Amino acid sequence: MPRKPIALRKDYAVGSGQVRLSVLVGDRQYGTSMVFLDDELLANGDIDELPLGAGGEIAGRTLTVYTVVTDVRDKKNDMSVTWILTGGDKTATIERSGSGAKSFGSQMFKAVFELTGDE
Amino acid sequence: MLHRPASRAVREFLLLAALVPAAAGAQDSGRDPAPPPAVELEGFRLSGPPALALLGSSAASVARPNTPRDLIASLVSGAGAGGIVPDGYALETAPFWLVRRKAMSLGDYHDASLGQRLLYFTAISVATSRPASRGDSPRDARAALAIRTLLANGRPSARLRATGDSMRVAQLDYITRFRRWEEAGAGASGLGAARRRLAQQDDLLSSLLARVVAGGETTLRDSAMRTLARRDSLRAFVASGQSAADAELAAAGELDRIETRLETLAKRFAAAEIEPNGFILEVAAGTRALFEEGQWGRQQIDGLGLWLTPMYRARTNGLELIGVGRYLSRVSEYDGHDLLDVGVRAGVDVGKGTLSAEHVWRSLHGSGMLGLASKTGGEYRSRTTRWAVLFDYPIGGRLWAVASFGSDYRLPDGDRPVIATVGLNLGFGAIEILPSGR
Repeated sequence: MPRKPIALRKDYAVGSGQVRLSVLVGDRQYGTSMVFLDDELLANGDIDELPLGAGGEIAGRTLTVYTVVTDVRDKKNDMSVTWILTGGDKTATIERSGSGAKSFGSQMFKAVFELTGDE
Repeated sequence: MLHRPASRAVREFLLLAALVPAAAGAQDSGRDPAPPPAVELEGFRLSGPPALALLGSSAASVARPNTPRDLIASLVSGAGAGGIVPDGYALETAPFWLVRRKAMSLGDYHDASLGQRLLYFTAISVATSRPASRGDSPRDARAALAIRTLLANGRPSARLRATGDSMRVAQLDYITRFRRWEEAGAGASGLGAARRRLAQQDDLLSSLLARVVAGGETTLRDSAMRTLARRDSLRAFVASGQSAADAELAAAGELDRIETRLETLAKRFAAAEIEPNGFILEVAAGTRALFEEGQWGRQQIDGLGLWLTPMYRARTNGLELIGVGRYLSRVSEYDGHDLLDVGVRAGVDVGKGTLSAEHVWRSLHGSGMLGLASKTGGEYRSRTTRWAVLFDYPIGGRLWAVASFGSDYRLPDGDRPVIATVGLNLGFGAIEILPSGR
């Protein structure tokens, strides 16, 4: 049975401009991401300044980011993932930390962003 | 964490240490004085903390704290009691990695600039020793402080990149199956409650049908039909839920399998990461102090060491070049004289085996112990060289077949012993930094 993912659920207020996503896998660990807008796969691999679309087009949709991190350090198994969303009213930088269940283990991080428009 | 290249050459040294040196034994017979120590190039490289190498000893364990708390605890425990220098304490730590680096990606680490490398790869070591006392005199102690770093760290090897690519594929597969597992889990939710409701509806339907058919209570016919519809709907729901539960279980098994695969790849990645390709330059320096009667307060500097280890590895064609230079002052194993060693080694993969050649120059100041001594300015100075061609081949498990041929250091009588060994490495032994006693 897989471990429970380290989860994040947030609203992100988009503006009218292009919204972009970056995913930083920290602690010198190895990670890979898959990005979905609703159920549509947008990108996978390293995510750096990924354009999600103009704010008006993506408002009301759900952005889901799966990142699996594998511990490749022999002395520490700290893990962290930082999600950076830009192009909205504010830049959102959100980080979550965890650790592998064992040395050289893997951990899933899951972020869900509800993209909201101007009220 | 310090990045050190750990090459096959290390294994070669281990296997040579475990050889049955039949030919060497023949060389030894009848010679007086004994031949010089069979120092090989690999022995000049640092295999542990340079502070330990300065003491010419090997601690049973080296503390490697990676948090400030661990560092303080280790230093406190290593400080000894009553102002006495402890025996056999060794510590090495990389200050940069004492704190967590959440913002550091693997790419940042691999593409580090010179300044960043100095931060990432600099390690400080301390070690103490108190040799056995002679007679009733209190034992003097020695302590060493050293630093080492990588001025160049090559580039990620093809093996590292290939392992990384395999990890990426496995991780993408993991995410895909994780989503299936989530969806299946959602489909299977409420299955238990649905089964209980289905059982209730089955019971109710049986009762209603009995009363309608056997009891002739036709007024209950509509109720029985509605119950039948609910029962069928629940049956479909339970069947669908069971199917989802089966899928969830299958996906969980697949995830376990991929996690195991990722674990294997991660270990391979960590091993490949410390063997980069290209030019690598490790530098280490340290100093050693003598503490009279083992008292911290009564010290005097009595030696220093400097190591310079350039290395070039081109794994695409299996070529590895290693150069080593080291200078050690007042080496106790050499009657307190200074030692300068310079060596170069080239190795190339031949099938599964490795063919390598090395040449080592040794200079000892202040003694004629290695033969061919010349007297310059009232001081003896000895120089000698050694060359060897080595071949090793993995047989399986920890077994290696090895062979070597060459010319050893010149003996005091002017002869050059031939190096000619054939044997098996059983995987035992340890690397010594300083040559053992004569």
